[in-house]
Amino acid sequence: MAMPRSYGGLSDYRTVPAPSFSPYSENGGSVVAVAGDDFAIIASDTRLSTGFQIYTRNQSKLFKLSDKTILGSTGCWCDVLSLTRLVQTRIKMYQYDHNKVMSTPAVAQMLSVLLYYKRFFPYYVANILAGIDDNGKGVVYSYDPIGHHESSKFRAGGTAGALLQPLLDNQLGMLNQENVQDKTYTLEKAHAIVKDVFISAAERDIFTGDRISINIITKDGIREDSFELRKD
Amino acid sequence: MFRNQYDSDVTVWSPQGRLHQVEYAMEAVKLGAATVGVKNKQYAVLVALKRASSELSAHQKKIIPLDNHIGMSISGLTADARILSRQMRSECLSYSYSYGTEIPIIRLMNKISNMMQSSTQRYDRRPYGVGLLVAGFDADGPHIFQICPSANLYECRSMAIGARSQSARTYLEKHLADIGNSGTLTDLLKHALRALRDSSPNDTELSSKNVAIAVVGKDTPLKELSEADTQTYLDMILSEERRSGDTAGGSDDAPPPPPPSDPPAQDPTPVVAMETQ
Amino acid sequence: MLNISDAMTSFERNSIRSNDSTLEDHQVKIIKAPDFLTRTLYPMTTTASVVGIKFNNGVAIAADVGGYYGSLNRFKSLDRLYKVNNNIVMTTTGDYADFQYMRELIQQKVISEEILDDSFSLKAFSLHTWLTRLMYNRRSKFDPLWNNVIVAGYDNNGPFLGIVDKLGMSYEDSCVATGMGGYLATPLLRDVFERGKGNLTKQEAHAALQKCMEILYYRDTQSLPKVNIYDFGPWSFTNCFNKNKIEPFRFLSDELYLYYSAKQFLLALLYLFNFFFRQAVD
Repeated sequence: MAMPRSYGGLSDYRTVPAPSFSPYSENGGSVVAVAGDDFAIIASDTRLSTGFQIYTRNQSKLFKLSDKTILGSTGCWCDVLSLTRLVQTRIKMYQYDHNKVMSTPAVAQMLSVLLYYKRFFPYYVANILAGIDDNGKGVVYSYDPIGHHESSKFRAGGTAGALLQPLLDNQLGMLNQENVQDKTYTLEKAHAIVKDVFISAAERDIFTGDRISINIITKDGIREDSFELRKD
Repeated sequence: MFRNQYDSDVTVWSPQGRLHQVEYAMEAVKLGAATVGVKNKQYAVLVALKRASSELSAHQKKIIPLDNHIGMSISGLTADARILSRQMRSECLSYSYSYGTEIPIIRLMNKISNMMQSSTQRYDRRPYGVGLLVAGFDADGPHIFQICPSANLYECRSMAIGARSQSARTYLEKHLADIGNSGTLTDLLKHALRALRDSSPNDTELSSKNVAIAVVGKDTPLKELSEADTQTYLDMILSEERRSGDTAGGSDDAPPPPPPSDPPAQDPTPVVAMETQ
Repeated sequence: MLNISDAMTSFERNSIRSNDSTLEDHQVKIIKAPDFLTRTLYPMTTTASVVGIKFNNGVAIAADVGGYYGSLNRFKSLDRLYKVNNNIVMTTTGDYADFQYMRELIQQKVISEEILDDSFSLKAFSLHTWLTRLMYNRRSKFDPLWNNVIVAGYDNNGPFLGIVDKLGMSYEDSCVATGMGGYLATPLLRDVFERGKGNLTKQEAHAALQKCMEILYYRDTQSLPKVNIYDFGPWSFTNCFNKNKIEPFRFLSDELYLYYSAKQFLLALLYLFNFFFRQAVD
């Protein structure tokens, strides 16, 4: 096999102008999801921004996939739009092919496959999937941009994800607290903590703010809630 | 069976200007069990009679959902319907993927009937052997469409296709105004089921097992009713007496008129598969 | 658009692939990614900000008429508000050629749709979704259309106002602005909108847009004080050509405009004089 030979001409040493086009943008936003024994809560802020510019103050990052499953998705907004649209289409195809609604764990697996399919030109997106499984139990799945995923009880993602996760660990997981007997939490408590952590995030993260849109999934369906955050 | 020298190929005209192969395909529709589609100002409804091919087998599927706002019932070759429904679903999905809204029914109908037409004009293909009744709801309101194997497309106020469907059409024609102005979904469904009963074989009673009902309408995504719901509506009409004067089937149940041995040009008027004007 | 097969022939003609005697028979020359396929790496003729706002029963957008080569005001009367049909108007900020290309595409869609003659016509929401897909597909090919698109329209679902950028990022809002307007105009529009409790009159909306365009003219070097405004509402369904278009207006009185023009002209003279003077000295 011949080695690619060096051309050695002037053009090889010429400085190439930096590519001015990037296919990605960071549009910010945070998502928090909490799973309980018979419920799941998922919330996102509604600020869509880039750098110091707020595009809109009213863009929820939650996508309803079925009566039992909701996807929260932040990051590069053009990828978010394309990915969620693809997921919604695939769920509809599944529904007609199998004559049943796709279960949350099945959606979770499919999302991973769809993300990994674009392994070498990834969707630049942080996903958190919340829902109730076939047994009526709350589940939360979190993803990296190329499809790695894990199931957990509560998860924060997006620009304020690193700020919020320790707070959730402490308040819901009772981590780093001594003599805690009861590690369970009710829907009401989880709901209140979700609001609290977003208030904290909006204080420190400029990409998170304006409002949060909250969806509470139970066996009876999805309940929506909204909560104002600081708008500066 | 009716072989003559002009029906060997779908692309061969008879001297009378007929395509015998296409007309034979139209007969396949009449082999399937009857199905009825009706609409009023808010809803479009499909009802279908499901056959079970034997004691051991389940009842066949007659109503196929295509999208949130479109469904169809079929009569004829089920296998062909499967291919068509796959195509139609993917059209619906691709439209809503591109435009974010549901496809207008007429757009889907034009797409699919053009596709069906191509197989009536090529020597290496055969026409689809299935008739479709499509019910849908869009910005223009509820719609019922009929598509034949000849790829003819009709928009209808109500329609019935399949075996013995002439009786159902007679009922529908008689109650045309009533059906269009029926105020409630229940009234509409009762008309549809009465029409269907007129087309059911004499030894068959409508039951929740052999009847399928699908409804679509304003703020009502397409829904196939459960057996329990079907029974509720059936009970409303089964208490009524079955209409007398129920001629067994209709004129369309007779085998198609034998293709004339061409010439002579003088034939009995045939069932014309195509609009030739 | 570059015709690939044409480019390929010229590429082959000049290329290293022709009999290279330094290669053994079994050897293959690895050629770098071909240079004949060039993508847009920056916009050429550019256009400036667009601003848009919803009001109580409609929506209005405004854009100036300038076209620029870098900082050169090359074109002074580009009408880039494109009326798609009786319900929609769209325009872009960014590359003017790409805007013209998109206009062709959309025009063809509208014509194809009219041919169907089925009483359905393109809605602003659908066009917005479709443009999002178009822009995303192009960015995924690393060959973007270098524009921010604004779509405004009115139909049975009420007023619509949305944006798509060159990546395929899109959103809807009551107040939108592109380019410098994103920084300078959106805060003003949001302020007006919130003070009016989201229920502005048509006149208030127009005034807000004019104010924004005026401020943009003062601060954005690449903008002109000549602006087109389109608005859409229940009245726009009547089939009357350009009924929605408000005549171009200027912020400045004619005298003042003349003054600014004259000033610019004198500055240019001074510059040229300076240039030649130095040449002479050298």
